[in-house]
Amino acid sequence: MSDKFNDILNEIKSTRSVLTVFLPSTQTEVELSPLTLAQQKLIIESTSDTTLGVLFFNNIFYKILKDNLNGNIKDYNTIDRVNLTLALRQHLKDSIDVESDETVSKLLTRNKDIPYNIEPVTVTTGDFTFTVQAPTLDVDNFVNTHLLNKYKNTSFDDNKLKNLISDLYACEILKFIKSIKINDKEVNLHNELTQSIKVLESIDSIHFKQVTDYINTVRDEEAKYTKYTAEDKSIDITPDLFIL
Amino acid sequence: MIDNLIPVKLSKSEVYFREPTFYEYKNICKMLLSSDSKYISDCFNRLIESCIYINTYLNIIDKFKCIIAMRNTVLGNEISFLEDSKKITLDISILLDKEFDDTPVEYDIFTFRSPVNFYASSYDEFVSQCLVNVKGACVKDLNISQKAEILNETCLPLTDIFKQIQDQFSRRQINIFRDKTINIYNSAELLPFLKSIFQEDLNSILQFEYICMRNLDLRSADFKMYTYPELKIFLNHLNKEQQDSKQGSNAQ
Repeated sequence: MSDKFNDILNEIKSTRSVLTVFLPSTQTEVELSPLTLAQQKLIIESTSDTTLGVLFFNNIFYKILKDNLNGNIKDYNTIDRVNLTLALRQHLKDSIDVESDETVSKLLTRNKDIPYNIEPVTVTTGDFTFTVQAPTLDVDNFVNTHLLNKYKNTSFDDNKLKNLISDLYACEILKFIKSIKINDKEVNLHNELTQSIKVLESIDSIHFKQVTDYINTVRDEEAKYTKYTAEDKSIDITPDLFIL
Repeated sequence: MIDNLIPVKLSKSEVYFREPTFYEYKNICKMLLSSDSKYISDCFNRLIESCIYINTYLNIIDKFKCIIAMRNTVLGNEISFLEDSKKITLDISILLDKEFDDTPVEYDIFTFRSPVNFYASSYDEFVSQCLVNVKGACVKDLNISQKAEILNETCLPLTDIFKQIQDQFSRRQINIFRDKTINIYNSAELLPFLKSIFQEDLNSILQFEYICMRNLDLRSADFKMYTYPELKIFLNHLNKEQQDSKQGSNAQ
């Protein structure tokens, strides 16, 4: 019986298809394995109404992409994640909702033609020079994990919620600032997060104005990839997308 | 030792079960006091595993029939209930002759049929329980965790598979009495039904056991030998003897 089980298992593994996904940041295509049933289960189980639900979903998704991507996940950023998510969803089901003719494949085709203008920038303000760039999936996951661990098992009263909002803000900035240079001394912020957050919190927020503008540009860019092609609607990149 | 084996006709085969002893029946009634669906489902599984001869693949249609047949040997064929304040007595042996739809549900390389347990703790466990065939290879004899592992390795939409199976199963209603139907795939409907027809009041059972010990001079080990109907017959004999002897002494 064990032979039969292993034979079937191996056959299923060997017949898995491979998806090809266009990634905006590199303007190249990458191979991606479709979601297995076990991975779908993980995504569905990450559905939650909690404050940290989106971070939790992104973490689960990072682990899945790490397993399924044929390439180094460190080479791709959060804008690429939209197309990767859409491709995985499209493999399961192309239509988006019953009330619309919109399909995921239409979005993916359209997304190939969206001009990609997000490049790293250097922002100099006061005594500080920030190297700012769209976060790689690796950095995004690293910061999200830090936050999830910090607020694990926390029940959110008003005070804790204020702390969380403040941490979310600091972590969002931290994701985008790769390094800070102060008086010729350069510090990489993505090595040790607790210390990095302390550094950021000690800086007058007026110096982050250009950084937050950059963050808004990147988030707006991500949103372009989720827009319907023919309607003024967008796909929400949440676990619900995979509950068919 | 030779047990009295009773046949139950299933859709494609016939299995034999041993009559549950009084001791077993009493313990089942104790277990059925629970309101936990998984526990109740496990209780019926244990009853089947313990009493059914031949280790064979049984789905919930088969198990349902086995439980009805066992109930009939322990408590008789009839159940009574109130309908519009009228007492209705129903012969539940008619359920054994009903045709249950077990049409397979095909999804890509998979074939699904009725699950093997009355209760599933999650949608993926339910799907695993229903899996019977993969790319033409029968997987009925694999255990649920092996089936789950096979399903986990595929790239098909889990929630869609679940919905399609559920959609088919939810239409499979069995008529019990007049317009009353039951869906054996709905554990919230089925388990209370099985519980209500199988369970007797525990106090009455314990009182019955006490009367048997006192009047028939039985010891606790004896209850592992005798069935509930046999003990009822013994007590009836005793009652009759006592009545006859009373009538005899009155006549003198």
